[in-house]
Amino acid sequence: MRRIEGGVVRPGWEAEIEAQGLVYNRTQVPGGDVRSYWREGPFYDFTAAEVERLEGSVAQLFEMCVAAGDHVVDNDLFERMRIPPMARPQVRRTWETEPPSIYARFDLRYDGEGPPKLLEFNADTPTGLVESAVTQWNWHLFTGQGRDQWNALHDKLVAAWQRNLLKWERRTGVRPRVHLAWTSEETSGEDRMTVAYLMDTVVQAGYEAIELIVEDIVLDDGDGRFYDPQGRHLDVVFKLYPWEWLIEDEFGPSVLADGMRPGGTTWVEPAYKMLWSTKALLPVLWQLFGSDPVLGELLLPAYFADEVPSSWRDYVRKPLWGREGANVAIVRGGAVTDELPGRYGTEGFVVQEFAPLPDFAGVDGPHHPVLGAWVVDGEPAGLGIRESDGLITDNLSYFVPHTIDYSPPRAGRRQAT
Amino acid sequence: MAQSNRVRAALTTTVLATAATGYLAGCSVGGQDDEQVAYCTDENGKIVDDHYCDHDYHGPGAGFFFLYLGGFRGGLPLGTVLPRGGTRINPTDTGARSRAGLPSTGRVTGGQRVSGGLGSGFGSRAGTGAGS
Repeated sequence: MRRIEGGVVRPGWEAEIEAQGLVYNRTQVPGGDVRSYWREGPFYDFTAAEVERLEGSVAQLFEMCVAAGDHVVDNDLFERMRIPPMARPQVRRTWETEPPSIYARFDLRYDGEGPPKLLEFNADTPTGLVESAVTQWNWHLFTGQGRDQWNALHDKLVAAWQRNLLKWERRTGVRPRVHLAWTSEETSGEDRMTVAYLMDTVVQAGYEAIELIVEDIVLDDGDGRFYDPQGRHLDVVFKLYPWEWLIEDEFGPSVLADGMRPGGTTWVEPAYKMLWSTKALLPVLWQLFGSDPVLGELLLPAYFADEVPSSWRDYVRKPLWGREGANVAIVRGGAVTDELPGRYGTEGFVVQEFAPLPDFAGVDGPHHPVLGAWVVDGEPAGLGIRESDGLITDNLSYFVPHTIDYSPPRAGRRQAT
Repeated sequence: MAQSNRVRAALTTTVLATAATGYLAGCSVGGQDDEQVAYCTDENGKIVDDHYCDHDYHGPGAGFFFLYLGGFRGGLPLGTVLPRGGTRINPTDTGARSRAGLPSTGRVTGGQRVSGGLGSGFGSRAGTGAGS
């Protein structure tokens, strides 16, 4: 793994990536300046062997998360995981019946030397999809840099919808229409573009895709079913809206009740993703696999906040339901040295061993990458990298594309005449 | 395992490209401009007092008042005649009211959208997006 600083800069790239869907590229930073979220020019390069090893690690991590889910459900550890009581029957039911699940993203610490280490699992509402699946793929094709790219996202998303929806259709005898919902409160365009892209993959899977705004979802309090504003029943809804928010909303109890009855709306991702999207997954994984000489290598030691070893002085504290780095704190020598603001934490914290992100420094300063490894329908599917100047990857990080087996152009090369 | 998409060509992303074009042009979806609102009207589409559209109204003219749903401006005064089009809902049809995003019984406040029992979570957690 290496960071190439002097890559191709495409003429007109800003307008091009926006037209391709990255309308949220311009990011306002504190102080009012606007900067590009996409980094044009620099990129990361991997060897094919590195990517093969990463794929294997991601597949292994996914299996470990499945085992952790079994452990929580079988031993009724919902209270320890802070899964709200009202959601537990639906979490348990979806875990056992495996309704449609499409995608998730592991965030990994990786420096190209040892195995990747799991930082967290964004299993319920992962974003960064448009730039991973579309923008960097087009960049790779246009610039011709790299022999390949770890990016089978599009093919695998289409196949995931096909497999899951066909299974749903066979079970119910109904050909589902798929609504895809985003919250209109998110105004950067990111959620809407994520949904629009996923609509493309639904359509290419052969199913009807309908855009929907979360706030427009209608509950019929006569039959207890959910409809869109045009009165169409919601068969299958992809929701870019976290479960822990959904169940707290006014209609939350109805969502859970409807889901338990035949003919109810199928929500994608399913409710069991709460088991994985909470940071409480991290200490459960460590408890199960931390002592395994191979599997433990993919994890950082992690504990619930009330079980922190007394000898620990350096660690990262993460709120159970935090997002985009909010309320994450780095503790060194027993004192907080870095902390991002936010409103999370009342639900509890976990702590994870402090493993500083590697620094692929450039002429413009430090670059700390986090690898976002995508899982589609349970299989490794691709990679998206965000890098930050600081050690906490937040919503002001940059997206940097990547290649496999890049060969720099030879200086002075001329075509034979 | 295949590490990249089978066909090494630009992806077909029609919905995404169209959405991006619309977004960049400043079009909104679900914004104020195209929000559906409801008024209580008489049979001619003239806005009347909300109480005529209570689900259990049995006074004079009962049966000739409608909840009129469409992309109208909010805050229109009584007596305004709404343009033709939109959707008429019988105020006593609780199922139709629900499916339109209105409370199934009781009164509908003129010019107000009253669905939205989902989505409130975002506002109370301002500062981070719904994605992760």
